[in-house]
Amino acid sequence: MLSYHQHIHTLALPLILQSDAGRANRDRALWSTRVARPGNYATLGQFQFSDACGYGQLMSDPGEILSSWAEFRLAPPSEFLLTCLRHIHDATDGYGQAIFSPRTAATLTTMIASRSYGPELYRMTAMIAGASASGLNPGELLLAGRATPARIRQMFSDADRPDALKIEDDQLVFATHQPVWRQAFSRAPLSVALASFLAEALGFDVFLDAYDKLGQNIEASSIKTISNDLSKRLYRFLAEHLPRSSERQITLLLQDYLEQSLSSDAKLSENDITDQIILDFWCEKSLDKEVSLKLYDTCLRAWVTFRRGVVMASQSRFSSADSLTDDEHRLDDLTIDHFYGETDDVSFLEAGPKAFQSSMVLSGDKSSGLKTSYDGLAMPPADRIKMFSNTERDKIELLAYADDQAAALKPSMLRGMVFPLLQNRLTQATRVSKKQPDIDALMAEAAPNPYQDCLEAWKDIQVVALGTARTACQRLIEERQLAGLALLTAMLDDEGKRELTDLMQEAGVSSDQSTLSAENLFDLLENRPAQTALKAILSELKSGARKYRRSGLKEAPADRDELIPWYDGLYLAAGYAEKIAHALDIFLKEIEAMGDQYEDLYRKDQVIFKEQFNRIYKSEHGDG
Amino acid sequence: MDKHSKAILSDAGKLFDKLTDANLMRRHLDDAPKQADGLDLHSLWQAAEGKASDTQMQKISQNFMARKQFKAILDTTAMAYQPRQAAASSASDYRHGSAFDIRIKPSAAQDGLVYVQLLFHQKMQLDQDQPSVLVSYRDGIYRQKPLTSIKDQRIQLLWHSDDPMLKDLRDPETELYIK
Repeated sequence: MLSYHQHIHTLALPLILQSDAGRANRDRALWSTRVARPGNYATLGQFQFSDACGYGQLMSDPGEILSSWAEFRLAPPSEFLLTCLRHIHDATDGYGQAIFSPRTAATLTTMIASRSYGPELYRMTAMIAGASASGLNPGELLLAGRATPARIRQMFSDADRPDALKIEDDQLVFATHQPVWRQAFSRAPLSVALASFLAEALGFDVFLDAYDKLGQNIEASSIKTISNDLSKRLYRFLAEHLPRSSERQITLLLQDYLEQSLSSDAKLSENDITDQIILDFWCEKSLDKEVSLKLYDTCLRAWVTFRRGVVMASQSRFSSADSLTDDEHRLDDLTIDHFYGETDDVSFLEAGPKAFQSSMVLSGDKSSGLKTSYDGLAMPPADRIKMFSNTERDKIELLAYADDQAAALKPSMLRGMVFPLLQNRLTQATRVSKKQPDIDALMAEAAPNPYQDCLEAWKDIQVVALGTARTACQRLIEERQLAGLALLTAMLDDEGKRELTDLMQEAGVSSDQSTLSAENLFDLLENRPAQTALKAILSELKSGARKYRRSGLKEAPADRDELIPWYDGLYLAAGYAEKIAHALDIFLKEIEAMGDQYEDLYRKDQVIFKEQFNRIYKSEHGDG
Repeated sequence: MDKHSKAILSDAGKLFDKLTDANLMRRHLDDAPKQADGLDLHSLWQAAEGKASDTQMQKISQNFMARKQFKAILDTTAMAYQPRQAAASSASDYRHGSAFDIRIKPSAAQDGLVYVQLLFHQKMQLDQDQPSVLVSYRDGIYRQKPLTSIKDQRIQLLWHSDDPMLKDLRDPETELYIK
């Protein structure tokens, strides 16, 4: 007779295969080559089974219990892993303030999902070795307050550090390491986030054990040994809870297709991934029943990501790796550096965003800023300000996804805006009717020149981005917040900037930005003569703000406790919107340089897509 | 393609996988947002500091992983700990520990009330940290009680005689933490 453990593993696979049947989406295509394996469901044995035993649930129908467990989903990863990540995203201190900034939490998610934790794990191990050797309480370090560079630096600064551990230039320095090991406090929140994740996933006791051992010896060899041990444990954990990405078929398809398209002596660069390659690939692979690449949108996004991979790989510091381990760490570094910069996360400082800081440093990433700004607007505290409607957000989602690749793939962007919508309608039509959908009729319904319409829509959104940014600036100025003037500075011409600088000097606004000087400054601003450049732009802001009466932009919240988060939200949201407007401006100028070509392009594309849709949906319905 | 280009193509494939995995996971989390369960380590830390409601303690008790994590946090942060009483065989109104003893005594003045005394041993350094909460763990269930201030190395509490935590204190299987 089988034990309950054996029952669970015997039951798992059929249930997995039955559940979630028939759902097809973009993600499904990318997950598709991943097969559910018993190893992915080890959480049942490890945790929930014990719970079930402990509470006598096994007296109920096992099938009912099993089906209620989220692990029994076709799409990995395990619910336990997701819970661990959510815990990092949701963690708050005793005052309800987020422990980790959205950027830190998102980067940790990236690090774990892409298994790019190698280098950060060493940094984290070094940091906790230093903390342990300095007598810091592990719980205090990890759990007792917000993970900001300033707080962590202060903890080290106040601690009784060993001689070999120094603080220099905002770095933690291990003086006896060969070479001397330095790590910036600006990165410490990510190390704390990774340590918290390890403690969540592997157990707080495992973390404490490592913490104790590390405190006994902070030499490089000891740190490396424990870092390797933690790395192995994390690897085993992820093997059970996260599917292997190397099983992804589409990666090989993209690599093979690109290689075949190039001559034998060609030197690969991102420029080899052209609009034509993307279109040809879709035309070819969308008919291949072995792969789930029927949707143009799936192919386009895959190529955009692959192109980014080529850019990153080409910019890598080393042309070839010294060893497998180094090679993996190099790629890990590239991945994490793509998401996490060395600069402070200005959206998450001890005292809110810094005033008088250019909004152009709002993100730490090295891309065009469209993606960061787009994502930033959806995260606290900027998400309380509705800079864009949902429709407007949808219209720039693809551009944000493509980010720095969009300008090089302009025709693909236009195709990606128009044809996936038509294909979605076709897919829906095939679901409700067994007959082949009328593709000709559907294509005829499209506007005469949808590419032109896209351009117009993007232009409108650029106007909205600038308008909402200026409105946010106006609200901050009305509230006499210096952050409003920081935003205003970016909008001023040289004459306006000179005028503002003179006023600031007159008001005595010093680097400490005392409230008193700020009040003086705003008084002076209000009393400026009407004909000055500064007054003119202030009037412009005021009248422009009447147009954007969107949520969060209308007026100050009635609840005084909400004021500071509202100011922070306005400042960040304005910065993000400005960046979006700037990125759209560059992209639109590039696309306008195409002249009238996009009208011809649409006519040609319409023919190609119509034929291809006919092939795809004809093959799906036999001969129709 | 030359060797260098092949290396770039290979790296690009690995990076593609990493970026795709990251995007999928982010979307996975965004698409299925769940309300915070309050069982993250930071919440458990606050609970160990005595800042949890009884509902929160109940939630911790009902989740295997949270129980395990909470125990690890208590093990590292508690001022004093009494493990299970291996030698004791039955329920008792006096419980001896290496750091403190517990005595349960019915109130002579008021029916239905009992005194619970925590008798700290002299070697405890109580001048540095004032204990704030007593946590019991029995049969997978955590309970907590706020503590009053120490006088003469002891804390005296007045509870109802049907308080479930009394059963915990009398049971030799119970583990006790003072925070």
